[in-house]
This record gives sequence, structure tokens and C-alpha cells, in this order.
Amino acid sequence: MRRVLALLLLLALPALAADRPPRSGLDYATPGVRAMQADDFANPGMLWVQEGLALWDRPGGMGGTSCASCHGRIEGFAGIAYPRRDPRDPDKLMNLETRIEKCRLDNMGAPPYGYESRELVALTAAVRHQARGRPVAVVEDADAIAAGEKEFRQRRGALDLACAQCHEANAGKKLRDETISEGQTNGFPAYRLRWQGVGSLHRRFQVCNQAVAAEPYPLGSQEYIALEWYLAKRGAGLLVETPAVRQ
Amino acid sequence: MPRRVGRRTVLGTAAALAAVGAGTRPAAAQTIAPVSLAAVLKPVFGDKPIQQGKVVLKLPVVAENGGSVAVGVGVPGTEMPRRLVLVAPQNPQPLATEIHFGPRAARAEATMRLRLARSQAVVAAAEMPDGSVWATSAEVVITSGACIELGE
Amino acid sequence: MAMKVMVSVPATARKGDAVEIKAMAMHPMENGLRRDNDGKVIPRFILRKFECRYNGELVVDCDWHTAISANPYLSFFVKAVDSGKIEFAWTDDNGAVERHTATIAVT
Ligand code: HEC
Ligand code: HEC
Repeated sequence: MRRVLALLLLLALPALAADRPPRSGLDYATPGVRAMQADDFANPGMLWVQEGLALWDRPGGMGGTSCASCHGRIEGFAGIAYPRRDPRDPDKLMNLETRIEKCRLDNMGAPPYGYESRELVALTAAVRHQARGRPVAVVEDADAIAAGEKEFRQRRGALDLACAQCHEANAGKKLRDETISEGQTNGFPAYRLRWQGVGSLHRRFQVCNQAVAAEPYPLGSQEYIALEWYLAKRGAGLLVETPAVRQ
Repeated sequence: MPRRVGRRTVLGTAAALAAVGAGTRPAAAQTIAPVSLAAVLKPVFGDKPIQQGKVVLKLPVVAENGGSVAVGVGVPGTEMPRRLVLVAPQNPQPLATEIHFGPRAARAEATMRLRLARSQAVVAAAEMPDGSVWATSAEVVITSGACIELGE
Repeated sequence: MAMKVMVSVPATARKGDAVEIKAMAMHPMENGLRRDNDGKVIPRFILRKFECRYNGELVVDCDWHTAISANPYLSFFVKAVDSGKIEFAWTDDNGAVERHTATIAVT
């Protein structure tokens, strides 16, 4: 074990981040995965989008309202940018998922769905899907983005590896049966073959934490939202792909 | 829910990382057992003679995820088979699907996705209107290891 | 059943054309072999039958077993004969049926 670790640490020496435009995970995907994503009628992620569109119109909560009753057509959300700070509590970071949950609770008087529930994943995917083909919108916030970058470069877990060591230094290389990509976020929520379903970005973060034997942060945690914010900024210029297909 | 990180995950990732960039793959891809079309198809067609040909089967040579392997099967030409059968002999339940084409089908052709437990030779068979059975097989290597998962 | 399904049927087609149809359903296709986090076997639960009819006549009918992937997908070809309905039906292990209908105009 010790020899293996020594070897991997050597391999994982940080390389200088080359100054080139970001590349989507799609560029690193296998032809089969790319074909699935390219055809909306073969991309199972679209089933979640369909479910999200149905939820958009479903009345609930104390006033029997739906998202549509207050927000109109879902297309109107194509331009929204998350994460951002809670206007009423600027210390608090919100991503699209926690924003939707908050809206259910505060404005709709309905119980939150729960972070990785099928409903919240579907609704988030449907909202993000409205921006497909547009550049990822990022709110400028130096502090939050710096906090996220710190998480990205923080070595962690029994393997003592940072996100950056896999997703910068080793992007393009094979890790077991997968090609390590740049860890971009423009396809999320994404259909992952191994999940046999659509999952959130934070669920993906947890998988990556577990891969280096680090205790993951909770889904929707401030740490993960900061990380999400930094990654959005780092991927500036990439187009939204939701729902992407990934291995 | 944060899940416990097992020793297997650590060893799995460590071993996988050791192979990063080395140009080699961890030994996840198993060797493919040879198939006897007659033996594999016996549960479906009994002792009927199995001839080689007529039916076409398309599979990727390598699939990274055994949970979703794109498969195309068909009988080219105008003659419609009574049924098309796909069998994955190395799966816990080998019979994968049985397809019947009706009068409104334009071709005896379909594509779908199969869940394959391991590398294997998949078998496709067509029973023609005259009762004859034709078959073929195609090998696919599944590279995702069955026991070492990189995370969930 | 309130299961999400999606089909791709062209709105129009020329008489005699072979038209590709795609159909997909949101379903875990539990094969009865997986275990949950507590080690309990997750019971088998799959869609075991798929059928497509064109103005009442059969296009394709499939028996599905556990080797069919989650969120099953099927593509096939119908012969465009006349305008009307293309109907889809998925049946699960409990006998519940999910139906979907698309229309096609043939000229
Ligand atoms: C041991 C190497 C490793 C480390 C460390 C690692 N990842 Fe990953 N990550 C992977 C692999 C392998 C994949 C799947 C292939 C791919 O898309 O890169 C992946 C996928 C991703 C994806 C999905 C990319 C896409 O397009 O679908 C994101 C986002 C991501 N990682 C973020 C992170 C973050 C954030 C961290 C740090 C908390 C991290 N990763 C740490 C190996 C790693
Ligand atoms: C009763 C009216 C009402 C309903 C129902 C409602 N919202 Fe809202 N929503 C609001 C208001 C008002 C705001 C503005 C921020 C605030 O005051 O909370 C908002 C803000 C939002 C935002 C942030 C928009 C932005 O520009 O940043 C999102 C996203 C959102 N809602 C999603 C949803 C979703 C999804 C649903 C359905 C589950 C929903 N909302 C249901 C009233 C509603």
C-alpha cells in the first residue's frame, strides 16, 4: 500500500495550470456517451427534465400555487445566475437547488423536497435546461470564489489529494475505466450511467471526495456551494449542457 | 447522506491512480468465454437446429459501463422473422429480450441498451416464418470492474 | 402508473416511408440482485413488456427481462401507411400499464 501511495503522489505532482480555454466533460467522454447526449430522445436525462416541467405546473403548498402561478413560463428563468448570496442574509450562499427549496418554504408554503430527491433534481434540471446552449452565467463575487478555490486546492482524505491534482494536473489521463476531465460543471444536473439516473453536482462532489477517502461535506453545504461558484467561474465560456450524459 | 469510506475505496482509487497515464488498464476486463450458439439458445428453441447467418448483431467492441451497452439487432431484407431473441449468456438471467414485429413494422430491426454483468459474447437469434432459426454472436469487453467502484 | 415516458414520432411522413420511432421510459429496472445500504435485497421490479401499435395494428411487441438497462430505450421502424395514431404501452411487474399516444400525418 505504501508503495502504491508513493507512486500515486509522484504522479499527482501539481503541474502548472496551462492557460488554455476550459473544455467541457463532453470533450473527454466516450463516443457512446456523446451519442447519448447528442440525441434528446436517447438521452435519459430528458426524462428528468420532462418530470421537472410537470412539477413546475403542479399546484401545492398552503395557497395551492405552482411555480408557474408566480413565475410564469419556465423559459423566463433561462438567464438566472447561481450561486449567489441570499439578499436578506449576505453571509449565506445559495445555489439553484437551495434557492428552489427556499422558495417552496417561504413563498409557496410547501415542505422542501429534500436535496437529492427526484423532484428537486428534476426541477433543477428543468430550470437549468432552459439555459442550454448559453454560456454559464456567473455572478462576480471575489470572496466567495476565493473560498471555493481554496476548497479546490485543499489536499484531503487518506490519499491526500486535491481536486486540482486530478482535474488540472491529470485531466485527459485514464483513471481506471474513466478519463479524468477538467471537472467542469456545465452539464449538471447530469445523467450518470453509473447512477442510472440524474444527479446533482454536489452528489458528484461527494463521489470525488469518497474516491480519495475524504469525508464528504453535506449536499447543499456552504463549502460545496463555494466550490460550485469557483468552478462556474473557472469554466467561464462553457455552454450549459444540462442534462449532460456522463459515465 | 455522507457515506462511510471503506478500505476498498482507498485501495481501489490508489490502485487506479497508480495506473494513471501508464497506458495500461487495471485488470478489470475479464476474458471472454467462448459460446456455443446451440447451448445458449436451447432454453428458447429446444432442440431445433441453429444455423449461422441472416441475423445481424451490432455491439461496441469495448463498453466502459456494463449497465448501458448500446445494441442493434436485425434481419436485413424484406423477410420478417417471427421473433428476434437476444441472450447474454454470462448474465444472472441470460434471456434479455424477445421481440415480435407486426404488420406495421417497416424493418425487422431495433436498437436498445443492455445491462451486461461482465465481458461476454452476446447471442442474437431469429426464428423465421418457415420455423428455421438463425443466430450470431458478438463479443463485448466491459471495462468497469464489478467490485471496485470509484465512489458511488 | 405515473411514469415519465418520451417518444419521438415525426409529425409528418410520406406514404410508404420507413419512419424511425424512439421510445424511452423512466424506470429503475431493478433486477432483484442489488442490495441497499443496509444489505437488504432490493426486490425485482421491471417493465416486462413494451408494445407499439399504429392505428390498432401491431408494429412491435417486446418481452423485457432483467438485462434491459434502467430507463429502457428502444428504436425501431414503422411503415407510414395512413394518418392516425401511434400508441405505446409499457407494462410493469405488477401489471400496471403506462400509455402514450402520438399522432402522425401521412401524405
Ligand atoms: C482521484 C482523482 C479525483 C479527485 C481528487 C477529484 N476528482 Fe472529480 N472526478 C474524477 C473522475 C475520474 C471523474 C469522472 C470523469 C470526469 O468527468 O472527470 C470526476 C468527475 C468530476 C466532475 C464531473 C465532470 C463532468 O463533466 O461531468 C466534477 C464536477 C468533479 N469531478 C469535481 C471534483 C471536485 C470539486 C473535486 C474536489 C472536491 C474532485 N472532483 C476531486 C476524479 C477525481
Ligand atoms: C407564491 C409565489 C411563488 C411561488 C408559488 C414560487 N415562487 Fe419562486 N419566487 C417567488 C418570489 C416572490 C421570489 C423573489 C425572491 C423572494 O422574495 O424570495 C422568487 C424567487 C425564485 C427564484 C430565484 C429567481 C432569481 O431571479 O434569482 C427561483 C429559482 C424560484 N423562485 C423558483 C421557484 C420554483 C422552482 C417554484 C416552484 C417549486 C417557485 N419558485 C414557486 C415567489 C414564488
